Amino acid sequence: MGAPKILLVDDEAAITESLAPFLHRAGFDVTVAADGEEAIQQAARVQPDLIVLNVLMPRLDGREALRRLRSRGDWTPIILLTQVGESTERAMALEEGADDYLNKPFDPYELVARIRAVLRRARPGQPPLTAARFLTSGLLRLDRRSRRVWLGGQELPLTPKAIALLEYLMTHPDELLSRERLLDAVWGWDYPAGTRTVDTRVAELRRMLGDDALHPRYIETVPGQGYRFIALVEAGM
Amino acid sequence: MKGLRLFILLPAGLGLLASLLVHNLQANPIFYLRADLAALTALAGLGLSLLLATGWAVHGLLERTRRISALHAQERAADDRRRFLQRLDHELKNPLTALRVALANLTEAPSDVARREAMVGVEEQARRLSRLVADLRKLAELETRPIEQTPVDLAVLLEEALALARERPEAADRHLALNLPRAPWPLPTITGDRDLLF
Repeated sequence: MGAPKILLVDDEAAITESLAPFLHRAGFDVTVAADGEEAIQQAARVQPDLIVLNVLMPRLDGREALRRLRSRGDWTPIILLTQVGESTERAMALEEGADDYLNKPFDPYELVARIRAVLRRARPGQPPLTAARFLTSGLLRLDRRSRRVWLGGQELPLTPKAIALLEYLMTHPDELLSRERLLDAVWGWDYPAGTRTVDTRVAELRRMLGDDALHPRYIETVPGQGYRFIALVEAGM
Repeated sequence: MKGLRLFILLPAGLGLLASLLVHNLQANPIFYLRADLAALTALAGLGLSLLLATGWAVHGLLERTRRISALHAQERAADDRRRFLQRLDHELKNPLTALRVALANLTEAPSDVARREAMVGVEEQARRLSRLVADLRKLAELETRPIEQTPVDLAVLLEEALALARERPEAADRHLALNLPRAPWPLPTITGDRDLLF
């Protein structure tokens, strides 16, 4: 196995010119494309292990490129670089079959961490958990389209934010997620002062799931670092 | 508006046409109108009222059109503003991202060459952000302060802009030229705020 092949797609030369060497140093074999059309061509040519895809681009934007790749059954893991900090945009990113997303401006080390996590999670040629409508984990069941959650057949009255948080945790099982990362991914904010919000929502989720923080079945606290969804998650019917 | 004016001229035109036709007839009969004063005053009052009602209706119609177009202008302005903010979001986030990556590269630079390259990247993005902030300040001022109206020589203004662009490091490997029309006329002097135009 050589270095994992990454296709980096962004129209902004200032970003690709510095990000490509950075990713190369992190141990990846990097190819660069400047827009969606070039990305689709390069994807067919280099067969990357993962694509880092910017959303806002001329010619063919990232969202459309993602749609085209997925519609032809190409399940190469994709991390979207989103620009607009709206929650609808982020929700759409996961719904349309991206494996993960990162809001600009992002920390390049976080991008490397995301790439590694997605590569670890990826099952070659198969749709990721983010492409599934239903996610199940033990007695827990989440319908991502209708935004409803059941525990052992009983529907849980969760707030939309708590469902979004649960969705992000379940689509990233067994991954250590920092409070900052969760805040950025689910709320779209990038300031550390708000990390208490994450704790409050996790507490809400635990209460509803009947999860004990000391002996958790679902959400584990990693002291000083963040949270991890520890139960096995499957794409359900 | 134009249709309305033509509509006003229509009766006058028709009257003139009829007059010409009658004039061309062999005989130009004389037409007397007789009315008793009581009926005439009533009729005149009624006619005047009708005229006033028409005027009032037309005024109302114009007023409504004006209000609607003002509303549209407001919506357009709000739209522009939304688009501008989205664009700004995009314009600010890209250099910030590039800056963070360049800084990471700087910390990890394996060689002097790599360090210098990363430094250039940092400086370039910092300058880009400064420019954006300056533009933003101009826009903020545009909304709050009165715009100066003084004569501005466009040719001089453009020469100055070119000189400034040449000083920028990105211009080092670019050829910049300014071609201004001289014939049949040179660029006119315009009225505006020189600082905001620059």
